[in-house]
Amino acid sequence: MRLDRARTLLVTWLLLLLGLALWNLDHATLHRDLSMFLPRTSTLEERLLLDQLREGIAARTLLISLRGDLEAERIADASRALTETLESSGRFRHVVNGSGMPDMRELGPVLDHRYLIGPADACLRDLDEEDLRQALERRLEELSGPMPPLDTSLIARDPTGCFRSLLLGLEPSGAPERQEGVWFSRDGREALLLAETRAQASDLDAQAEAVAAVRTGFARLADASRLHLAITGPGYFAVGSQETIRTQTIWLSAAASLAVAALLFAVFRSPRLVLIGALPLATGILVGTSCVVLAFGAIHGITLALGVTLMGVAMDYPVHIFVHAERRAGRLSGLEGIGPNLLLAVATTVCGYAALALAEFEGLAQLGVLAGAGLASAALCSRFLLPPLLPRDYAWRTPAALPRLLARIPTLKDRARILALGLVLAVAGLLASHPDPWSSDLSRLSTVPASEIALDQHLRNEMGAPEVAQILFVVGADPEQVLRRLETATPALDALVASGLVAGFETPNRILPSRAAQHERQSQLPSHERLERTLARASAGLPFRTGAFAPFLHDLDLARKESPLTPDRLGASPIGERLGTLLQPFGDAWVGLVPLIGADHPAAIAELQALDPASGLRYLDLRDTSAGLIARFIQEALDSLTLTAALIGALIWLGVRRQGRTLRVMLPIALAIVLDYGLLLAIEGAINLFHLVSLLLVLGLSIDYGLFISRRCTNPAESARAAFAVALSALSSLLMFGLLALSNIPVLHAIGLTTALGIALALPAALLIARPDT
Amino acid sequence: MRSLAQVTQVEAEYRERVELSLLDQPLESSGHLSYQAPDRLSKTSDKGDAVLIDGDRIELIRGDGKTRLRISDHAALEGIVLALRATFAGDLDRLRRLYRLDYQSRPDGWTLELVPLERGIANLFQSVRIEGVDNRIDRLDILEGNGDRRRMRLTNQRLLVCPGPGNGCRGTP
Repeated sequence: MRLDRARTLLVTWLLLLLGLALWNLDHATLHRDLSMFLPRTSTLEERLLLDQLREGIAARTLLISLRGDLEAERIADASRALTETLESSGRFRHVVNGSGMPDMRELGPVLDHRYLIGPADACLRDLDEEDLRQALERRLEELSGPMPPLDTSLIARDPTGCFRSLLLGLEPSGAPERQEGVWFSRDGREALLLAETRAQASDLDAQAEAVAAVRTGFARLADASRLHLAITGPGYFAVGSQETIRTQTIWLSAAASLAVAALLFAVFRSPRLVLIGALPLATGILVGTSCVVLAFGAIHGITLALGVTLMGVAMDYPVHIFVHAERRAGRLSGLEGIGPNLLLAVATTVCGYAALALAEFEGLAQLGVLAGAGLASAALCSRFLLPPLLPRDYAWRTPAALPRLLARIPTLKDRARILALGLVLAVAGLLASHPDPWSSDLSRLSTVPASEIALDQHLRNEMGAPEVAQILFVVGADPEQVLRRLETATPALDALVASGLVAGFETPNRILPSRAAQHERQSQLPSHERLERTLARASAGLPFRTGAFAPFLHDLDLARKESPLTPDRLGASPIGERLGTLLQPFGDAWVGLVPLIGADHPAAIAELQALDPASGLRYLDLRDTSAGLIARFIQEALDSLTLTAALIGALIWLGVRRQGRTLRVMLPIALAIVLDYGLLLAIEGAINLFHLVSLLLVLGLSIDYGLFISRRCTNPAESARAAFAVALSALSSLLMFGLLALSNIPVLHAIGLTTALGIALALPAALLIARPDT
Repeated sequence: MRSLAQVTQVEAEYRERVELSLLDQPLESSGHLSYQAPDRLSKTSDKGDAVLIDGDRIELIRGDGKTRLRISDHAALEGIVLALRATFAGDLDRLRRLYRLDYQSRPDGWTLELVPLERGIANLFQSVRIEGVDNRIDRLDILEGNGDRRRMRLTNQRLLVCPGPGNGCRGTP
C-alpha cells in the first residue's frame, strides 16, 4: 500500500517533470543576443556597438584564403569557382574575389550623375582647356592603339574618363593586388576572398550554415586536395567557439555525472538512491527555467549555462537526506535535526541569488531568478518528496570508524577562531587594496586560439579589410546631414592616411556626396557656351569630327540642372547596398560609418581617440566599449554581492543566534570566499565575470557546509553523520568542478577552478572551525 | 583555309587603319604581330603599346601602365579574342559556335566573313572579314557596332608550318 503510494508519487513527479520539460521546450526561446547583458540605460556608443556586433558589415564578413603550391592560374580558377558556388548558395550578400566588372545596367543613375558625384580631377578639372586637350590626346592614342576600347561611344559621352575614375574610386583603398584577375596575397601563394553573409552576425545558426557552405564549396573544387582553405572572421570565430564549448561541456558534464554517480553508488550501494538523487536537481533546473520564461518571456543562453552552474548546490541536498533519513516500516525519522538547517541554508542561498534578480542587466536578473527559484524548488523536493521514495526500511549505517576519524580532526577554540577571523579580515583588507583586480579583457572570456587571431590579422592586412573592432562614426538627423558632416571631416581623415598612421578608410560620401556638395559641384561646372568654346580650342588640330562630342555637351547640360542623386535613387543596386552598409538609420537619427583599414596599433589608436570632437567624428573601439560594459556588469554584480552578504549574514544570525553559532557558521564562509578570491588573483592574474559568478556558488556551498557541520548533535554518531554528509557532497562537487577546471576553454576553466578551489577551502575550514565545542 | 591549322607560328608587320565616326580622318598605326599556336597572340605598336594574349589571360600595356585581365570575365572581349585566335588556328568548329560563317574561295585567295550570333557581341561589332592566300592571313577588317571600321594588313610574314606528326616543320621567309 505504502509502496504503491511511493510509486504513485514517483510517477506523478516524473510526469510533472515531463510536463515542465515539454512546456519549456515549447515556450522557452533561447536568446543568444548580447543585448540582454547590456544595462537597460545604455549610451549611444553601446547601442552602436551592439548594432555593429549584430549587423555591422565587418561582423558579417568572412575572410577566406585558398593557399597552395600550385600555379597562380589554378589557384585563381579555384577562387572563381568558389565565388560562383558561394554566390549561388544564396547565403551571401556579396562574394568578392577581385574579379569581374560592375554591371553597367546597375550603374545607370551613377553614370547619369557622374559630373556631380565623380572625383574632382577627372570630372571637373579636366574640363579646363589644357586638361581637356590632354584627355583628348590620350583618347586618340587609345583609339589607334593595339587594343582599342571596346565601346567607343562612351568616349563621345565621357572624353575625360570621369566615369572610369568614378568606378576606380569605388574600389576599396586597401584592396589587394590582382593576379590572373583575382585578389592574391603579396607572396602570390594565396587567393583571397571576402564573403558577406546575409544573416546577422549574432544569428549563430545561420553563421554556422554559411561557414559550412564555404567548406562544402571548397571540398567540391577540382584542386581541393592540393589547396588549403582558411576561414576567419567574427562569424567563424563565434561558430567555432560555440561548437567547442558545446562539445566540451557535454563531454565534461557526462564524465562528471558518471564520476559523481559512481561515488554515490559506492557510498549508498543502491542504484535507486543514485537515480532518485538526481530528481531534485532536474526539478530545480526545469522550474527555474520556467520561472525565467514566465517572468522575462525568453531565456538567454549564458543565463542558462551559468544558472545551471549555480544550481550545483542542489546536488548536495539529497546527500544530506540519504545520510540522515531513517525509515522503519515506512515510518520516517532522523530528519528533524537537519530539516531546519536545510531550510535555513536554502533560504540564505536563495536570498543571495535573489539579490541578483534586482540587477539592472536583464541577463543578471534572469540568472538570479533562475538560480533562486530552481534552488528553492530543489530543496523543497529533497526535503519533502525524496524521503517517501526511500525504501520502506532504510537507514544509512554509520561506519564505526567515522566518529573516531572525526574526533581526530581538531576543532579550533574560540580564541583561535577570533584569530582566524582577524586573519581573514587582514587578507581581505590586503586584497581590497589591489588596484585593479577585475579583468575586462575580452580575450579572457573568448575562446579563439591565438593562432587563429594571428591568421585573421594576416588576412585582414592582405585584403585591406576593415578592422572589426575599430570604427569611426558620425550621427546626423538625416542622410544629408551625416554626409555633410563627413565631408567636413574628410580632410582630417585624409591627413591620417597621409601620415601613414592609418592605411585607409571607407566612407559613404566617397560613394555618394551630399546634396549640398552636388549643388556646389553644379555651380562649378562650366556653362554650355564656355565648355563648347573650350572644347573647340582643345580639339583644334586633332582629327575629331565637329560635333563628335555633342553627347558630352548634352550630358553636362543635364548635369547642370539635374537634381542631385540621393541614397533612395540608388536603391537596391550593388552601389546602393554598399552605401546602405555605411549609411544607416539609427533610431530616429542616421549614422554614417567610417570603417578603418590597418589602424590597429597604439599610435593610430591614440590619434583616433584624439580626433577633434568638433569634426563630428566619433571613435568607437568595440573592445573598449565592450570592456567598459563588462566592467559595469562586474560592478553591478559586486554591488548586489554586498547586499547579498548583508542579507545572508542577517539571515544566519536570525536562524542560529539561539545556539550562538553565528561566528562558527560565518567564518568558514568568509574564509573560503576571501582565500579563493586571493588564490584566483594569484593564479589567474585577474578576476573575470565567470570567476565572480562561481564565487557566488562557493558562497552557497560553504553556507551549507557551515550550517550542517555547526549543528550541535545529541550523540557523536549523529555529528559524524552530519560531517560525513557534508564531506561526501563536497567531494562530489569537487569531482564535478575539478573536471571542469581541466578544460582549456577559458570560461569552463574559470568556473571549474574557482569552485573547486572554493570547496577545497570551505570543507576543511568548516571542519576545523564550525564544529561545536565538545 | 584549313591549312591554317598547320601554321604554328606567325611573325608579321601590321598596318592598321581606323575609321571612326568620332573622327573626320582615319588614324593610321603600325607595329608587330605574332601568333603562337594554339592560343598566344600579341600585338605591339611602334609606339610601344601592346596587347598580349595568352590562354585566358590578356595583358594591356599602355605607356608605363599594365593591366592584366581574365578574358572570360568580359564577354565582349572573349568574343573578339576567340574570333581572332580561332581564325589563326583555322578552327572552324569553334568559330561556328559564336559566328555565322561565310567562306568564299577564289583562284587568288579566300575570304571568310564572321557575323556574331549573340546579340551581346553583335552590339559591339557587326562583322569580321578575313582575307588570305593558302595558309596565310593578309587582311582583317572589323566592322564595329556603331559603324566604325578597323582594317589591318599583315606584311613581311614569316610562318612556321608543321604539316603533321613526324613530318617536321619548315619555315617560310
